[in-house]
Formats: sequence, structure tokens, C-alpha cells
Amino acid sequence: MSTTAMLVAIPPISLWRRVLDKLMTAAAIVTVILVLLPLGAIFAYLVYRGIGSINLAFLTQTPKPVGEPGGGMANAIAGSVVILGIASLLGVPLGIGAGVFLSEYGRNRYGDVVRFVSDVLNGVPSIVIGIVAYAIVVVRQKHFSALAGGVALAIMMVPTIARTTEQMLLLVPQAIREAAYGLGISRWRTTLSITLRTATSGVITGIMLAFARVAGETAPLLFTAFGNQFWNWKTDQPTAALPLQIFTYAISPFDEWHRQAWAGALVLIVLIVAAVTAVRIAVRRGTLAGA
Amino acid sequence: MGVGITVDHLNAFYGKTQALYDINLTVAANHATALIGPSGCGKSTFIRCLNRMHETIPEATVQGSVRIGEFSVYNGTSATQLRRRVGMVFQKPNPFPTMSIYDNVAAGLKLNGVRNRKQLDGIVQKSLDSAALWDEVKDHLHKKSGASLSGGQQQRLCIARALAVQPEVLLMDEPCSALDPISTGKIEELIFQLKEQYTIVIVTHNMQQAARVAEFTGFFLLGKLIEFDKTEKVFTNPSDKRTEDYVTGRFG
Repeated sequence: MSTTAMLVAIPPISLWRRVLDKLMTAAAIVTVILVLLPLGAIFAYLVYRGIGSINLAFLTQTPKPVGEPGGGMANAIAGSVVILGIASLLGVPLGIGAGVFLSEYGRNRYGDVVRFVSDVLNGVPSIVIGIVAYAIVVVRQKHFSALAGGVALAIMMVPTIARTTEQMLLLVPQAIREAAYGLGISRWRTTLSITLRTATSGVITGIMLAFARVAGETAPLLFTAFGNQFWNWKTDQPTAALPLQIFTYAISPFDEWHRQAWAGALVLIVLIVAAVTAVRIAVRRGTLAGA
Repeated sequence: MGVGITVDHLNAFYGKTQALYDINLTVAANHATALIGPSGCGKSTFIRCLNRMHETIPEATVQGSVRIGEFSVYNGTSATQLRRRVGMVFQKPNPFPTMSIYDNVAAGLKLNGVRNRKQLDGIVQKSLDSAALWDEVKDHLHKKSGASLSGGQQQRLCIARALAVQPEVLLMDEPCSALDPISTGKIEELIFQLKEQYTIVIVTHNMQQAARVAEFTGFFLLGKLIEFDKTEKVFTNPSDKRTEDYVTGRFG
């Protein structure tokens, strides 16, 4: 082979290929817009309908009786925070534990059973989960409670967290585990301090997905947390939650309540976005250069 | 100080497939021993039997006996205890990607319960120094992740990480196969220095490398140890025809 042969000019790119290139790029951009459009539209409409009713009273006061103007959803916002806190406290460790089992110890028939059950659980309608929580918590406690609501949401979080944790742990190269074994680090230590740590950002994404999903759930709270028109900080008492309050207000016949429902929906979305963003920033702070 | 290794009638299996047949050999303390042979001949399997990494693969089993110093590897010692005395460097650099350079080196100690900050600082510096990496990384020990280093630096980081646990034996499974000639040269220089304190067993595809760094060389073929002798003898005057064919490049 002579050098001149290698220097033969590359033929010019045909017009058709250049047009096709532009077309494909345009198609990709259009699909991105189509995906983002619903989110943008929902958010814009929520701001349009809800922003007018958001004021200090809305964020600091409890609901006023029908006919009295003013009042707010402060107790529902607090209740949602409490219920989601309980749900995360129960659901996150359980989900991560199940994910670790599936990835590190579940490459067998037991694992397949757990995977199948977990996928089915993911598809169970949320209202059914609510009934389960009603049966195992509310019936025993003999009254509705934040705890029951938290249990219902936790059950919903577990399969999502378990399956994403599993997937993220499987992405950690075997070489990383071997490096740890080679240092005389035991298997459980390796799983906790090396494998899980390497997969942290992916695992947290899974937790955030699960969290954001259950944060807006109404059905599982209908007969667990039940709702409350007043302040309540006790986890064994009926507790207000934003989605419940929005539901109650939205199906009411009063214009004032409708406006407040829009405002509540806006607050709910902002809170979810804020929570997810805060966790992301916290995770990024802890990440090293080049990791 | 390094210790010698004695391997007696070692057989290794992956499920029903036998990978090693009746290996017998003695590795001298504080020397480098190279294992050569074509791909799939069992040299990696062999080296992984020395620190019981072989058995981390599902269905992999071992028969026979291995003694490291006064330790019986397959009799009465726990695998984790053993691996603290027998360090390993792998083919591809595998630093812990989410840990800082410092934490990478300290990992073996920290995760085995060493908490004393001063002690850790000392060992980390000494290990990075021994791995000829200290000067290149001392300014960002805590800021940069292990994965941010170049390939050659990563491999030296992995060596430092293995040294930090203060082993007596260092197993190296083709430590330079993913590196460029300059990085390879650095690692080879390192092996020369490390011999003074550790017993080194190195698997390599590169026969010049074996000739350069090792006093003893073993030639593996199809799961059998064909020849084991002084490096010079293996490369200049092998006793087995198959060894001669391999080192002169007639096959493999």
C-alpha cells in the first residue's frame, strides 16, 4: 500500500446525506420538546390558576369553614411532610435492603421470586395498597393515622427502590468487588462500603423517583391518613395531607375551595421539585473531582 | 518481610471443567516469580488460588494444598484473614471510583477497623511513596477521586492500596497489560524495589517483562506447569521442547 493511496480525497458528502442529517437532528429536538411540553404546560397552568391564592395565610393557617374567606393548607403541608417522612423512613431502608439482596445474593430462584413479587407489587393499584394499610394498621389502632398513611406509601416505594437499587448495583463492575475482596474486606463490608457506595448516585435517583411518585398519591391516604381540618402532630391521629386536601377541595361545590385546590397543587409540585433538587445538590456536594 | 509459597498437588475447577492439573511449585521469599504461558493456560487461575480469589466465582473449586509462610491457605485460615497477608494487583486498574485517592489507599485498613488518623496518614504516605506515586498526588489526596488519575497512575494507586494492608506476598495478574510502555517501565522499576520487602508473583503475557523483573519463571500450558526454573534457564536453555517453542515464539 503506497502513501498516495491513503491520501485519496474523501468523496464529498452527498446532498441527501446532509439533508438527512439535519432532518434527524430536527426530529430529535422535536421529540425532546414533545416530552417536555406536558410538564411545562401543567406547571404553567398550575401557576396561572394557583398563584393568586397563595399568600402568607395559605401557608400558615388551617382551613376556614365553608363561606369564611381566607384560611390555608398549612396543616396539610405539614401533614404531607410527616407522612412522607414516615414513608421514607420505612420504605427506603427496606427497598435498599431488598435491592442489595437481589443484586448480591439473589442471582438464583429466590431472587427470581422476589423480583417477580416486586414487579407485581409495583403494578398493584394504589387504592388496594391503601386497603392493605387500612387492614394492617388502621383496624388494629382503631383509628386513622399518619402512621397508616406512611405505611401505605412505604409499601408503594419499596418495589421501585428495590429494583432500581438492584440495577444500579449490577452496574458496579465485578472488578471493584474483587479489589475489595483482595484487600481482605469481608463480603458484607464490601457490599455496604464499596459496592453500595459506588452506586450511590443511581440508588438516590431511584429513591427520588419513588418519593416523587408517592408524594402525589391520594388514593392510599383516603382511609389511612384520612385527612384533618386542624393541626395534628401526633403520628397516631388522623392527619391532613396535601393530595387529600386538594381532592376534597377540588370535588367541593365552592369556588373559593377550587381556587385553594389549585394553589395546593402548585405548592405540592413545588415541594416535590424542591425536595428532589435539594437531595441532588447535597449528593453533588459530596462527589469528588473526576468521580 | 516476604515469605515463601509452597504449592502441593493443586487442582482447580470451574464447575466440572478442570483448569489446573496437579501443580507443584515453590516460590522463593523476597524474589519475583513470573508465570508465563498462552491465554487460557491457567496462570491467572493459579495466581487466584494463592489468595483464594478463585473461590469467589460461583461453582469454582480447588483441591490440594498451598502454604504461604507458615500459613496453610486452604486449611483453617479464613479467606479474609489470608487476603490481608497476600495482596493482589489486577489486570485492569480498579480503584474505587467514588473514593478519594487517600480513601482508596486507606480502604483496606479503614474497612477492617483501623480508625487512628495519625496511623492512617502515615501508612497512606508510606504506601503511595512505595508505589512511586506520592509526589504526583500529594497535593490532592482528599480532593480528587481515584478514577481521575491516568491509567498508569491508577495502577500504581492500586499497588499502593494493596501495600497499605502490609501484606507479605504481592500477586500481580498482568499488571501492565492495560498500560503504555512508560507506565509499564515505572511499574517494573517498582517491582524491583518491592522485592526487598515482599514476595512477588507476577503473571505476564510479555516474555521480555518476565525476563526483566523475575528471578524465577514458570511456564504454563493447558493447565499444567510445564517448566519452572531460574528465569535465565527458562529463556536460554529450557529443558522442555514446549517451553522452547513458546519462548522462541514458535507458538502462542
